[in-house]
Amino acid sequence: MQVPAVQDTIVAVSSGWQAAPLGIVRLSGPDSFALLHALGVTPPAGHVVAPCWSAARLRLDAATTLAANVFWFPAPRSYTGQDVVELHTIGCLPLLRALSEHLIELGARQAQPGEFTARAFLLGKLDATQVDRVLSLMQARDQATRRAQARGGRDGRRHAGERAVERITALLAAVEAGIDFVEEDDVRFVSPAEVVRTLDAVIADLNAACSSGADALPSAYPHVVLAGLPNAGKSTLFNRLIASERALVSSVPGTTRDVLSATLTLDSATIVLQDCAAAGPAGDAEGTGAAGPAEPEAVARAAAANAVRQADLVLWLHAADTAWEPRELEFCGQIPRARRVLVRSKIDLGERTALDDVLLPFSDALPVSALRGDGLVQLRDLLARRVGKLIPPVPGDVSQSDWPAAIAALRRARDLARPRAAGLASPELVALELRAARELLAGDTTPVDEEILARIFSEFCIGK
Amino acid sequence: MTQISCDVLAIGGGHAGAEAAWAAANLGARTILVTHDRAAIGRMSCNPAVGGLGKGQIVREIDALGGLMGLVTDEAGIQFRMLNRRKGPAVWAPRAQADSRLYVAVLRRYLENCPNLTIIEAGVDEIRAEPATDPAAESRVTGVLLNDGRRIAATAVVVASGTFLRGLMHTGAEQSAGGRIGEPAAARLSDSLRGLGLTLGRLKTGTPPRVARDSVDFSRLREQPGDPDPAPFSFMTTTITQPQVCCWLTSTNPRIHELLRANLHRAPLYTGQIESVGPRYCPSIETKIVRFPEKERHQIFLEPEGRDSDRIYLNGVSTSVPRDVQEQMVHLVDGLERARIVQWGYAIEYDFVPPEQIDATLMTKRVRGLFLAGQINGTSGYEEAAGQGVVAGINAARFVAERPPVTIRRDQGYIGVMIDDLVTRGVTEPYRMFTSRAEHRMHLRYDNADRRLTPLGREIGLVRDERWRRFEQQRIRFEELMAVLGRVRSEGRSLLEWLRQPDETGERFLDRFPELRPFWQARDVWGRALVAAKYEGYIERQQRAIARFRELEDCALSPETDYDAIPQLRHEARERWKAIRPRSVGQAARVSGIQPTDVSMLIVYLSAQDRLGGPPVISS
Repeated sequence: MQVPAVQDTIVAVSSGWQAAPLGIVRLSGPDSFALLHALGVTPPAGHVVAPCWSAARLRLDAATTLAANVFWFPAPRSYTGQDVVELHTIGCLPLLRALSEHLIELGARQAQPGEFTARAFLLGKLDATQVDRVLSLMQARDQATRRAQARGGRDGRRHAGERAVERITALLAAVEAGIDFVEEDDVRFVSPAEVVRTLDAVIADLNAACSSGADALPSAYPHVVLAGLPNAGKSTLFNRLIASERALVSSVPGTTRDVLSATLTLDSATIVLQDCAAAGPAGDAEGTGAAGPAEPEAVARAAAANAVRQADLVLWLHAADTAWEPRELEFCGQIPRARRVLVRSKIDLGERTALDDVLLPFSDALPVSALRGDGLVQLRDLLARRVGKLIPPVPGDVSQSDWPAAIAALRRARDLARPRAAGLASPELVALELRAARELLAGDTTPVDEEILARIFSEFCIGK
Repeated sequence: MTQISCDVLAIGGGHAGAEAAWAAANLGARTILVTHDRAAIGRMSCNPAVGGLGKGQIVREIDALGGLMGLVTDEAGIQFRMLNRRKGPAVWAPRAQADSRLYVAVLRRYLENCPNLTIIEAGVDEIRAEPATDPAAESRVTGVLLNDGRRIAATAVVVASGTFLRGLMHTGAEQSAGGRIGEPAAARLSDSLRGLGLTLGRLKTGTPPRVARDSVDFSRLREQPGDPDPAPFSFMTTTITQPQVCCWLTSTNPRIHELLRANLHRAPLYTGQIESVGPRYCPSIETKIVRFPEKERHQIFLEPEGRDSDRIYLNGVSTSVPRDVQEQMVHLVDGLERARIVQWGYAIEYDFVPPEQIDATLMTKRVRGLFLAGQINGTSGYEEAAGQGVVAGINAARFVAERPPVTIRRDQGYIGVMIDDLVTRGVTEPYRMFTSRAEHRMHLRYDNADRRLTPLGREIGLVRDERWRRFEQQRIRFEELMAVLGRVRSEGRSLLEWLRQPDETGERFLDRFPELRPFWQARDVWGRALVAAKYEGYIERQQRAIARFRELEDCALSPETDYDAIPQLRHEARERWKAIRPRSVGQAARVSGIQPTDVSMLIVYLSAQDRLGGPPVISS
């Protein structure tokens, strides 16, 4: 598990939400300056005593260089208190990711969400009384990163990574079984040829995913999901905001089955706006079993629940001409305030100035009429403001930056499996490399032994 | 009536209780071992074998610390095999068949001649305690009440009750209370533990039928010999002197599977008569045929219970089906057509104390001075039990002497891996050791158990002069050999480089370099040099991993850490940590459901506490 040890050198793409014109990769730790040297950059004189900058070309490989402004912050005169380098270059996320992966190959470690701040705190650059702020930032950044990662579910690279973890774990179980259950001489677990074949396939798959350029860029934009009871006017507002006809607008509850997404450019930021009709509490009408097996309903509901969970902001619509229902209050109350924006929609139908609206904590809801266009400018402003306040995720995918190291471990495992045909000569070394690769790819902290044992016992009949 | 008193009292004469009593007595504590029957000390309830993958390493570790199991096995072993010899030495593991009667006799001899140790034959009805003065615990042990009415005062009590806690045996519909065939259960101890505030759970295990040796047709069986040059378990044993025997192999067949299938409605595991969870790695034969219906045969190992014993253990067909089905089943096995069953297979259910309730010292969190070891902690196996016994015995003695407890880390031994798994993650089935549980497997080897643990055993006081002298000698010889191998060159390469080649044993250099011969004869030393040469890069890599691991492990956490006070911590992390109360940041990170950011936040919080001058919660 990676935790804020302060002895090693960490790296992260540290620009904000999305591809800005400028991208920043930041390093902190004792090897920061040495790593720059490995990129072929000679530091300006005096960089060890005072912050300074230089223009440079970063050497990524024999054929590729990248123009960048390099900012040198010698310890202790830096944000973290360690030697820090910032590389300012073109704001292209795949490029920034490649740069950070290269630095990881050279020995840096991918920073965990909030780790630069944690370091600054641990090294005394931030006052101890600021601990609440630091912890809150770490938590928020971790959550934002998790949400962005979960949204990246359809990303090709991510898929390939999950597939590889699954196959490596299955292979590892067979190799481990061959070590731990040697007395079962009637059970055959895996042959060296199978190990080599499987690993060749996994490596090819990972390499293909790496070079396909599949990009999780949209998942890194802030996601705003429209939610509310059926008929609250979500689709109308969605269409009005994106000014197109992509969503089917209808007054029949639950007609928008899928989650519709569109990018929307506000003044200062690009966001992904999502509309899903089922994003709200289960209604009575939908719940009265008479309707028969409501499978599409369940699917839509699950998709919507996911979208709400993974959203950075939930735009809650309440039709102004209706009263707040208890289920609506409950559902809405479960969304943290920091991630909630309230809108009173359909004000063209007449405002219901009932007592409950005034008494409820939702009285500051923004009045909007998608039909007439009232309040839309204010809504865009409000969204831009709220998005601006959000803590962004770690750009790129934290879990994918260790791929080159994982592939190297898989190659070593394959080579170890090769020499003998009669049985693995060194299963313990193959297992060591497979475990290393798995940990790098999965990026999780759960000890793997229980999963391995579960697989062994479900697949092989062993035990006396 | 005179009140008996002692420092450490161990309940149970099994492998955990015996090691605990031995360790405590050898550390100078006045020790009493309470067992139902002196003649049953170290009795092997299940198969007459010691060691195996992971388990064999545990026995070596027990020995390296100054425990008994390796010594006793070497003296009572009648067939030794080094498993995995064709694979890398990191996964070699010794295994031995023991003469079960001899095993009991040897163990008993060690214990009966042990200074400071008294054996009392009785059952224990109650563990007595008084309210604790220490705010972290609720009460403190004061002694026990025996089932004959006697009271014994004790400063520390080690409970090693095995399967005896409300043990209930099943063979078909027959049920009988007991801890083992013909031995009574500990009926009242469970209530006493519950009365002390501990929560109890229930587990299940089982054992196969035994047959009479003279009724087996060995001509139809495949022989399974031991190693021609048996390697001892103990670092103190130079040669195995017991004459060696062989085991035999046969298997089940489709007719047997048909028979069992037809009688599943009478199998307690399938009728609902047994509800407790049994071990996945030790399935009964009826479970095997249900779970893997496509398999046409399952191996059966015939293991003699002793050199002169008339009993043969049928390893592989553990069962609790009714007697008539067992009888038919045995008679359908090749070679057992006329076999006479001398003990029926049975399943046994017993109480255990879910191990989140102890810490890595094996002392309960609620009751000071109360230690638990062996199956009561949800483990299975003689070796796992014995490994815990040593740790419990050491810590009970140190508790009495008011010295700080000793824990074994995950990078120091399989014993450490096991105890950390138990106290950090709990169990869902009887816990057994596998090498796949150890993340530092390259380091936790059979050959280097002494280098990993004998210095610790010496520091604790359990390693006597003779063992220490031998350890030092070995160390010096090894260093000499490594120096020679680095210096002597052949065809432009050092011998050390040659030894790195796969399959190179170095034997071919003996004629040319006579200075190697004395080392070649000292097999241990030569073997270690081979390991050092072949694994060089990997050992370094593992050492780096261990160093990283140690950073978090050495970050101590107070059990009184107030997790509610950490702002912004996820609810799940808070609840998990409150339930486990980890003793180091490393352990906190291993608790299930914990994510990296949780640990990072914990570290930041602890550092803030430090700087704000709060109670010293972190040290490194």
